[in-house]
Amino acid sequence: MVDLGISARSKVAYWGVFAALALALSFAESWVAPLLQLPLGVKPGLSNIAVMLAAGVLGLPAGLAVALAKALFAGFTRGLTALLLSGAGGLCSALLVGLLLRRGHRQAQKQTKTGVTATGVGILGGVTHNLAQLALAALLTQTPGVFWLLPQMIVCGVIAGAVTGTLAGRIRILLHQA
Amino acid sequence: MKRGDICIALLLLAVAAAVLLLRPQGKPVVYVNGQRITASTEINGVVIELQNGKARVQSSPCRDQICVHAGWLERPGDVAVCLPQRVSVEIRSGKSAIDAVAY
Repeated sequence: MVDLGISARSKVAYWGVFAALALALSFAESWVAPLLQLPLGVKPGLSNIAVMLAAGVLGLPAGLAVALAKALFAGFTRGLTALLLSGAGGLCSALLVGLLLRRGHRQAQKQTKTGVTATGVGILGGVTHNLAQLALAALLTQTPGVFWLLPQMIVCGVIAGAVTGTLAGRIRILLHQA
Repeated sequence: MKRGDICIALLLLAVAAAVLLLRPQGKPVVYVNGQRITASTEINGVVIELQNGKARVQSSPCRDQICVHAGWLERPGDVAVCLPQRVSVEIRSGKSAIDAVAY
């Protein structure tokens, strides 16, 4: 966790800010995605920027809470299947990203260089997100053959995760300067 | 982007490539929700068309239509999933395309 000089009281407000940011990004993505000419069903996952920021700035519980808010929003707007998919992908990736950032921060304090930046954490988060969704799809349809989609899911996770991770890293630097 | 990031990306892409190489070979056999089918069928409102050993989701009442856009499935390992309707269409490998191998 990083000390931004935030009091315990305003910390609660920051949880809300990141949750709101996640929902706004989910909404904005529905406009941006068609412009990118992505294959059907492939999304950049911009709202995960908010999850990563919450996990990095406020800690793991905040990251999980924002992922949960995102899943509930998907559930209200697009139904039960969307809620389950968003929840499985979001919570698993938030958990991993939160743990990695906590560990990364400890190492940064000891001034050891792992050579892994927010981009790498984003990639791992993106791939975890897609793997969790694939596992859920296999479970819901009782079809292990779904795992043959693994290569596409990994490639998409690497690209989307690199983009969102890099953006989250840049924004976090700006937050520290503010 | 540092060296560690690039290593992570390359490692994951290598796993993706390995899975591609592991795809089964052989005669295509169509399965819907784990059941073998030999003719066009309908399940949970999803219409599945069979033609010359190929299969596709012809229509589905779902919102996103990802299953329909998956198009024709012909090789073992090809999968189309409609999660809202809980339907999967997959091509598995039946009897090997090679009848026997003699040494």
